[in-house]
Amino acid sequence: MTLREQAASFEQRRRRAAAAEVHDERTAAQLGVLLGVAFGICLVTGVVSHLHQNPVDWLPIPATPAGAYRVSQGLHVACGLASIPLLLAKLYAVSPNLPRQPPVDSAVDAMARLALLPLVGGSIFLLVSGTANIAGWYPWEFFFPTGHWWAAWLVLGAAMVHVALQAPVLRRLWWADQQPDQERVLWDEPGPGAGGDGGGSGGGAGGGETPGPDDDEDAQPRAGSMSRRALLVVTGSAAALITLLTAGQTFPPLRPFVALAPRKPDEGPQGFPVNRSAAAARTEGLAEDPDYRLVVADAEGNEIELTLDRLRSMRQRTHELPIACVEGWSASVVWTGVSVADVLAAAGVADVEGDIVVRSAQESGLYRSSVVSSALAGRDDCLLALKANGEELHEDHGAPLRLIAPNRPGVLQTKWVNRLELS
Amino acid sequence: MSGHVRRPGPVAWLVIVAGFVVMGWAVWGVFAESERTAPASWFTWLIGGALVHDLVVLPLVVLVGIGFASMARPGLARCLRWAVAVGAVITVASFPVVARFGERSDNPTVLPLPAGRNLVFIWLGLLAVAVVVGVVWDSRLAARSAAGGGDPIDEPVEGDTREVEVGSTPGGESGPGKAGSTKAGSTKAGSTKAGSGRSAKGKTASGGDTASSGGTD
Repeated sequence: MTLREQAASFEQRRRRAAAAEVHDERTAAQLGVLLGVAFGICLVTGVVSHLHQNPVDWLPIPATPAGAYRVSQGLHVACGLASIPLLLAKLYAVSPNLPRQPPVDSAVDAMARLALLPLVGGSIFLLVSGTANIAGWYPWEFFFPTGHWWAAWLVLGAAMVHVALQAPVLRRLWWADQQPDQERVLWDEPGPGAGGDGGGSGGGAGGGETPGPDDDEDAQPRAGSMSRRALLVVTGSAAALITLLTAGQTFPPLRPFVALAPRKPDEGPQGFPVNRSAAAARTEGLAEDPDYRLVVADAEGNEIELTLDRLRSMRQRTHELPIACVEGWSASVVWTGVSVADVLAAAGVADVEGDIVVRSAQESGLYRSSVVSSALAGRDDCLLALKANGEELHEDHGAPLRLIAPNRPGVLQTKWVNRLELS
Repeated sequence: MSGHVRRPGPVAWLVIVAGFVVMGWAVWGVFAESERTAPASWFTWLIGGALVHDLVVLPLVVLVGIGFASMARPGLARCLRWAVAVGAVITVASFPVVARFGERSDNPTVLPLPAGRNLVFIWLGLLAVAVVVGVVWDSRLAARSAAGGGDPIDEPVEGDTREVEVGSTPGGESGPGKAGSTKAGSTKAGSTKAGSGRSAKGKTASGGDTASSGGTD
């Protein structure tokens, strides 16, 4: 068989594969919509998390409900994990279009295939990096939040191009579904935009290779190939099982099933996990250090020092607040300590107008300080905690003093606090 | 119909242009924050992930699918295909946890679970369920076949647009529940349309095609 004959034979088999129900445009569209919903939730919750860590004046984040970030970030991670089977199924559904011949047949088609590389590559990037991040594994050189952030925007842009090009297909399928008396036909209705989906990241084109009525017999699907329903059942089963086995790290009713989660929310000193230990932060022994002082510095540079005994003699407030990590785990903890407002008052600061920078004794790390807005600092439940769950704060949880406030990511609940700065 | 994308309308063009602007902004961001994004590493992972999927994962899925499609016992093949596909996806999703790459000696609260052991149990559970259901399914098929009834696997369900044939290899639908739709004595010889606008006349159940047989991802 000559090379040309081999290529023709391969193309025939590829077209036959593309004609199978599991690879048709309805399957691709259904999976695409599901994936779009899951990625959409990830995008919104990801932006929320980004705004927590990079606040903007024109969109202040409220302190209530206290568990909002817990829900938001829990959803982000859960939807990301559930997206893994959705993305794999979607790529499988459109895979016969990857090696189609000719690779492109018009400028628009070329553009559609070009946009698939950032769409597919970016989607895989997001899910791989996110999955590795929640397990504390960083086999790359970029800073995870920044790399993940820009990849998300790349995928969003590519998805906009993809959806704009595939919208006619969705419309056509939707209209077909509205007319139950008519046969559901995919290839007998020559839609204006045509095409199901791209295939694979290498440029599976914006067009599903669903054969038309005039196509040759070899382009028809073979009986025995996987059905759409079978693929959806596999995908749904995998997504449901992944959620069941991991979501308990933030969703208490599923806690008994956390077989594959990176964290157990009830395991750790004082009954909840640790993100960065005192050993890693080099703050061991800080709670026993007789020289420990909390320094309060005002905007003019005046400093007042408060000892631990002084802090303990102040009014102690107790609040149950979640500690919610960006990696997706969370736990409710009963915190006891002094409010930031009481500390500032004790330091002689009557009115707080600007932000307060809360600094940690740890020598390095991007999260060794955080900013508390004046509005948040005025709340009773914005605490500098001395106790957790009724016990003196464990050093891995930030002893002798840590910040805990409602609706904040764990990385902003600064541990080993030794300085408040007013701006 | 070629199936290829053609002639976007004006609104679509607006969205397309906006999409490319967003993509351009993202790439700009990667370089603008190069100290944190390490562009070479970032792009390597972006393109590498796609290549690994297309050149490694996808061919592997197709090969496994062909293996299942060639199994003689259709009920068992379908159930095992389901179990292997679900198990494989869960393995991929939990790989960093199971491999414990992020384990820290100073912090036992990171990766506290015996995830490797748990994953083995999950696999065993999936396979056990698949074997039990598959064997029962095949027994029912054999009994119906002996009684001269139709093949539940190959019966079309209401609204099913697919072409079905007697004795087709696994792939029609997802589970034993399908058997409930069997119509007594409606054995299909040859191809029967079930609401499809297009038939697969004359095609035999050859056990899957080049890129679609099985489907285990």
